[in-house]
Amino acid sequence: MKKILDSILILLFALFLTMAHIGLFNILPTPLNTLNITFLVLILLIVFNGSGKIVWFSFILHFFMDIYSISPFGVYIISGTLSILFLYWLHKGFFTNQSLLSVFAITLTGLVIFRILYIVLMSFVADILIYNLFIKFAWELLFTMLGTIISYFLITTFSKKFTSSFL
Amino acid sequence: MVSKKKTFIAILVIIIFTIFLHSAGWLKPIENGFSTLLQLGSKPFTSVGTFFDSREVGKLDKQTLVESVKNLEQELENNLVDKTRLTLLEDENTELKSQLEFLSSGQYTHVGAEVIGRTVDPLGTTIVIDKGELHGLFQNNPVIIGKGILIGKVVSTEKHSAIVKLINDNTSRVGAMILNGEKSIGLVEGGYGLGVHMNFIPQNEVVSPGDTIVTSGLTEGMPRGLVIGVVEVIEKQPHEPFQQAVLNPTADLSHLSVVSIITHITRDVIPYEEDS
Repeated sequence: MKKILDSILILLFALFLTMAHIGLFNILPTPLNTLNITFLVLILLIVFNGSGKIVWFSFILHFFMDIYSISPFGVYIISGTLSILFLYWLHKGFFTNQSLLSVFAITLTGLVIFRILYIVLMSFVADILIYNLFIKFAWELLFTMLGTIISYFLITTFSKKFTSSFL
Repeated sequence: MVSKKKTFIAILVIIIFTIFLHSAGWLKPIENGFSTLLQLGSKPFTSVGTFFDSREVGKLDKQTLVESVKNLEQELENNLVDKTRLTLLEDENTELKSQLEFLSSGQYTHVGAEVIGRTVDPLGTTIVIDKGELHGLFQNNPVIIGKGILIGKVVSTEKHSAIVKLINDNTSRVGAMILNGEKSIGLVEGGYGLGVHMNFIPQNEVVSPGDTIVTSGLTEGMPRGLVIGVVEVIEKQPHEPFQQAVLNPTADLSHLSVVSIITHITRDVIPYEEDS
């Protein structure tokens, strides 16, 4: 019963996050719209929750994103889920704590892997102007990292369970 | 290590299986269900986003000067469409003096829709609208705003929603015509949401900045005479067979809230000459 309830909650949360990503964050003024809210939440979940369910959550989330994407179906599921799986392993085996530095490193590594996989998959189906994409991804990286760091401080300030540390 | 390998393979298999189910169309009912839910849920979020957006404009509204500029821009946009129609009608009048029947405007069957989201794709410039297959929308239906200003075309449809590829999208291609002396035709293409240009304009034809560009009617499902924009810069190399024009789109593609989709064309804005 608990497992079913958990699955429903994961599904609803994924729906909510996709709605927020499509309906709210993408229509904010530039460059605020470059903030990747889905990745930000996934990274915070990896750092503060650490459960393996996050990989499945990422799978569902990117499935929804693929429905609303004009790129071939599967590009988001593959790049999103595999990069989150890698990040999950990285956090379990390498950055084992909840410090600011590990949040910073995980965000940077995660987004870079996600976008490299995305570019590789898209290069099979479209002509890509790398320079223009790099500018977009640089903004995305900057705002997502800023967002993650702000969220980190908010969580560690208002939560009794987690405390802020640099290393 | 073995466990990691197993997990990786298991996830990869599930992903490939999902893609296979999608390609076979077996996931369509599930996708439609979630798409309807997402569409319903995205509306409140879009309202919040638009609220922030309008607050931004609201700050500027306090200044009388900015208000005047906005009004003038609106007037200019209206005048541009009127001017286009006038130029075309004058041409028609001269060439077909004896004809009693000519049309002053196009007649379409259209559907109005609200924009409920923007692209999730960094490579594309698309919007999501709240009307879909159930409202009679099909792929390649033109999408307009105002008095016939083209903003893009429908690329994919769900039951209750559709994705519209804007004219500044990297993969957008629309047959277009310049309202200059030669009525030069070419192809309007987007560039990663950063700009719009018109290619394949014959080198010997005279194009000037400020010339209006409209749809040529040569693209499938696209009526003739929808305003796209005005020529801003001409790029011409003597050794190349074609010249290129950089456009300034008439529509503000970053602030779209309500659009119309032309689902059936009964007559073009600019009718073709009958004997040609």
